[in-house]
Amino acid sequence: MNVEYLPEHADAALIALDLAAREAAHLQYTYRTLYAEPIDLAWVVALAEREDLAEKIDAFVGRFGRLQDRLGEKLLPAFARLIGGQPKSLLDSIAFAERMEWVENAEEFIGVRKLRNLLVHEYMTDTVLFLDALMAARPATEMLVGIVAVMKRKAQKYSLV
Amino acid sequence: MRLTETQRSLIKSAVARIIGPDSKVWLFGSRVDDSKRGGDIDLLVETEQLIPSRASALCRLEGALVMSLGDRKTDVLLKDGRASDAPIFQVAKDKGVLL
Repeated sequence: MNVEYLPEHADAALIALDLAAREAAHLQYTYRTLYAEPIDLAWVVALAEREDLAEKIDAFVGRFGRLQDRLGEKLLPAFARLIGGQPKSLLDSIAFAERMEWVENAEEFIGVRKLRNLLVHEYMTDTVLFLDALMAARPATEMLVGIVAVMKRKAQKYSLV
Repeated sequence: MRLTETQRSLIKSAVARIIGPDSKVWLFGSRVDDSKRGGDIDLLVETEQLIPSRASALCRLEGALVMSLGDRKTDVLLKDGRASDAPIFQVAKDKGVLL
């Protein structure tokens, strides 16, 4: 069944979806390598001496941030415009996406931005908080990747792909 | 203090909802200074409770504050029942204003 959409916005939505899907794949790769070994307090303490682990964290945080920004600033507004929405800001886009059930919880989506600050290892003063942040980043990653999957299904539903 | 009554009320209700009604909140940093303009909203939230994941609680609080106050920069420190007495907590209390 074809669902009606505004065809003039289809290209932008597809480009945003393609880029988000690629960023999600890169994030998932780093996620798998980062969490392949058990992470505990000793692992966090070792970060100060282990450049390889610190680099992994940096890669993860960078990719996490890029995907979150891509979703909030590009993908979700592009799909909103596709169906006639006119979000005027990031928060508008997230609230719209929550109403459309593309994002389960707008507060949760916005809130995981905090992880990007908490996971800057150079500023680490509290190892327990850093470990908490690493653990919280797991479901947060699943949430972001899950949104890309939801939007892929929407694109299929609109017969865009 | 450069926060409106509405902003103070939104902050306190978000903290009570997410961290707990027993929590105390201090505003510190540049927003305490009436002679300045703009700036981050720096908050210290203190509770006697033991928060299982401070990172998750801070994320939920960040989300609630941004969705209610608008997309302005907030920076929250959370001191729970087991947090060590880092100097920043005392500085925030001494130089800050209890909301």
